[in-house]
Amino acid sequence: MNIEAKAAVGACVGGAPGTIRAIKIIFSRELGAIFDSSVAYIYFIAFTLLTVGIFMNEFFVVSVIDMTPYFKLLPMLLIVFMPALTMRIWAEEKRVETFELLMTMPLTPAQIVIGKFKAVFVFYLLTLCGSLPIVIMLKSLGSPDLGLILSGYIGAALLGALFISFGLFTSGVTANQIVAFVLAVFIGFLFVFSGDDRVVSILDGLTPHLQAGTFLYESFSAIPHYQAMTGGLLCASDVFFFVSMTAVFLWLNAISVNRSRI
Amino acid sequence: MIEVHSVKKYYGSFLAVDDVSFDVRPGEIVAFVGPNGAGKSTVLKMIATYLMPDAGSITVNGRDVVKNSLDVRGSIGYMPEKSISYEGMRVDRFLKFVGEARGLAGSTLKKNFDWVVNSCGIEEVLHKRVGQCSKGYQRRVSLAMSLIHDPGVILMDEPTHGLDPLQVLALRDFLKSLKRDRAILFSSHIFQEVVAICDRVLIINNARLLADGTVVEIAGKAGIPQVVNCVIEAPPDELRGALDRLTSGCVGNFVEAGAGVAHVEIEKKNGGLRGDVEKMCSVAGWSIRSFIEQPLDLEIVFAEIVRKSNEEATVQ
Repeated sequence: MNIEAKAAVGACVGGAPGTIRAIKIIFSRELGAIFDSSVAYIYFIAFTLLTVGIFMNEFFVVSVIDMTPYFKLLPMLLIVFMPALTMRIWAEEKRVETFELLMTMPLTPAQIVIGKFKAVFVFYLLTLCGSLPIVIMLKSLGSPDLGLILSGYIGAALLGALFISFGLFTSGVTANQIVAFVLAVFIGFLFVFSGDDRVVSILDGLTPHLQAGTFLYESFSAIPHYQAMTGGLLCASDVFFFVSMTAVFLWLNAISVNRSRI
Repeated sequence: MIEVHSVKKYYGSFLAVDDVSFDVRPGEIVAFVGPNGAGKSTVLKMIATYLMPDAGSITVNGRDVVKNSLDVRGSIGYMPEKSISYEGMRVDRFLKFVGEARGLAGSTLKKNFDWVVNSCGIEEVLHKRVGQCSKGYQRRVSLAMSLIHDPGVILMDEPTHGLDPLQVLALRDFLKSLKRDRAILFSSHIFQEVVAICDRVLIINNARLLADGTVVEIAGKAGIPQVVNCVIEAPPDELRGALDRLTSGCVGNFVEAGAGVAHVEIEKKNGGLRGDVEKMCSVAGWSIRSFIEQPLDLEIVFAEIVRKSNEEATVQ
């Protein structure tokens, strides 16, 4: 240490950054951390190869200039892929104790949660971009419905946002990444399979008076809203479902993070 | 300034901090001393707003750590016991991230960044990832991180842990240089360090604050007075009587060295002893050849206080 440099600049020049700036600071750090890790590149390659590979397989069999099979496949893959991305976001902070650093900075839990959410969401959008060659291929082979494709991408983005929000929430309630992963897979499973006709029939059969399957399908499942979008129907109610559900999980995440201060 | 009033903290049913009260004023360096698990880190974490007190109140610069946690966080620099940082980040990027998160930007950020980098001696590792730095450098990065916004209140949990002896000496000098206008509270197990830099000591054991004062004051309360050896040119009989009256019978060994010179050992009970002796000699026309205060062994003082506390706890 250089004691000659002891002259202070002037006591307490810091303070709290504004909300937008605080979110941007956390976003930049988190996105940098995602790309600093080799996991990001492996994730990107694996996700793209799997989604594009499965789509191409079906494309060669059916030979229809349509991207719907790609979007139909996405919810199933996100059940596993998204928790793999989000499980470390808070759990890792707790494991290496940087959580203490974050919680003693002049930032609110909401600012930190939104910053982290934005970073994972941007990374997810980049991985979705890995499917753009499909659009180019379809365009060069025929005349795909670009409106339908755009609507599908909006649905995929909103579905991803929902998966990220509950993935962050489960990561925030535990310091164990495996527990965070399993919890997020379970919630993702509920969101997706409550929209499966066979599951709805079975649940309705088990609870004939309550009609639990139909109730879950209509009020909880993300699939009907997602399918409407991938089918080219962009309704405000569907967008509202995803936005509100995402906001609820982010809010729960901020509360759980704040409560971690015991 | 830090004010802690009757603070309690439970971990489940375990009482980690019990009715602790103290304050730290600007311009003071105060050391928190206690055995492992005594509650030092918990108190520091509560002041840093990481943990919330279950009872009592803590204010920093008049702001409550629970109600105004963001304001408090903005005015404190907190260096945790472990060198906490994002190991995958480069040192310069990590410090800029912390600076920005603490509201610094533009020229102020650059100025403060240069100041902490230079002061903490981390120029060499600026472009390394934090995880690639040695333990000593990681500690220095942690120090730089806690100071980048030039806080008025500095909290340090075992700041010299992991530093080599030269770095420890440099850190002590650095803290002394920061002392002006700042309230500094640090915890330590190293008594030598505590005696060397702190103005006051807080001794904590079994969650309770046992002592708060200067080393001499605490030692006096514990029945371990500081010993002063002085050589005074004076008629021995008169000197003996005058010293007895002055110190209320705290004169120990009194050796006549002939030719009107006496070697005297006095148990110091208050900080004004030297002035009192000088005044007495001046009035009587005697001269003081030497006045040497024997350094107090804080380890003995600490051990005695903790022993008494443990005995009391056993009796209860």
